[in-house]
Amino acid sequence: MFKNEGEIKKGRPEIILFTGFLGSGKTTMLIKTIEMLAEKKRKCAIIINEIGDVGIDNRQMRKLGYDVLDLFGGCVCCTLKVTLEATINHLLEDCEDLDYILFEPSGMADPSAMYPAITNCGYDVNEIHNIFIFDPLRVDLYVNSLNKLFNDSLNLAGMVVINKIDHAAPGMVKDAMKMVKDTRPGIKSFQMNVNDGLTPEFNQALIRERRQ
Amino acid sequence: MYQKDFIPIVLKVKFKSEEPIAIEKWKQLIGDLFLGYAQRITEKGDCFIGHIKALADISEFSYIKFSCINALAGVNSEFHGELQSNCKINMVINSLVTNMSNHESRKLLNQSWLLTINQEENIKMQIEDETPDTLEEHHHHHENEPCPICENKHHIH
Ligand SMILES: Nc1nc2c(ncn2[C@@H]2O[C@H](COP(=O)(O)OP(=O)(O)OP(=O)(O)O)[C@@H](O)[C@H]2O)c(=O)[nH]1
Ligand SMILES: [Mg+2]
Repeated sequence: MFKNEGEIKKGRPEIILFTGFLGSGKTTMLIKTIEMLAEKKRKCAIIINEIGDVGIDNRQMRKLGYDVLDLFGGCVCCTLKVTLEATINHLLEDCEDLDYILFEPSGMADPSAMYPAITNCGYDVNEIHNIFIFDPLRVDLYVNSLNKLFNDSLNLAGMVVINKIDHAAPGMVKDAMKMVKDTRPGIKSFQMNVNDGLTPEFNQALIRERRQ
Repeated sequence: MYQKDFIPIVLKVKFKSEEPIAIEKWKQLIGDLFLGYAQRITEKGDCFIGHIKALADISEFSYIKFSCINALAGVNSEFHGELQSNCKINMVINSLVTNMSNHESRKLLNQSWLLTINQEENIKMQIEDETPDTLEEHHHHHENEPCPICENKHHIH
């Protein structure tokens, strides 16, 4: 039913994934990233998967003037596998001059669940730029209840952004940093108040991560 | 607790005032309503907030976004667009909370409104009736067709 791009296409758009639990700040981060890429005249497509019959993030993005491809539904597990693959294939076939595909999965999603859909489109796992947004206000939740989600998310990520540093107590930010270091020593990590904009270090790291 | 324990609930809300109200005031008013709602959810004891967020429509390109992940951490709100005064505002709330039914969400939101609003101010809030689940919105197939993706297993509320 859906075309499977078995072979790797040259010059296909980069994929940036914004992962993180509910309310962590994925949409905020995605918007700042588009603004940064738009300044560099890069063409981006946005895919959003939101839980609930009516989306908030897609409405927000449209009001900001962005086109969004919605993966709708209350069923993360199935829409992500089939619809995501179809959506990426559609972009690869119909939008030739695209530089980036930015994808925000639902905050409930198991980040590993969407990888097969992306690799089925011809991408290699290493080519997927996965940014894990770690809200320090969620340290307790990750430690006490969602430890597996935290480990899986961090282990798949290429970089981690500890955000809300303007809002969280300094102790929380420190604890968050320690959790990152203990679980994935050496992973590129950034601390920021995303509402104030992405840091130059982060922007450089994201652009530098670009596939040659 | 697992990620999948969070139940998605959508509430469509209409606010109406006899006099035009400045955006800053709407922001504060709805922010207070939101905080009261989050506090009531938390007080129930068996509910955990994943994310409660809302978008208040100000005009085609203007909005106020509200977000709360924890009643103690407060409510985040941000306005985007041109400052203006409005008599009417439509808002969509998307709430992901454990152990919380649609019916109960409405009840708590209504309770919070009663405490938020100063009775002398002529502002009304109305929550739209529950609409039946529209399959089309989920997966873009026709309403009378079974969902080809999940065979309708996920549309049960
Ligand atoms: N103070 C502060 N607030 C932030 C920061 N990053 C995000 N936020 C706020 O956090 C709230 C939630 O952000 P979203 O971007 O909607 O979070 P999300 O991860 O997309 O949420 P879901 O899609 O519902 O899972 C918003 O009100 C943001 O303004 C930050 O660095 N500092
Ligand atoms: Mg979001």
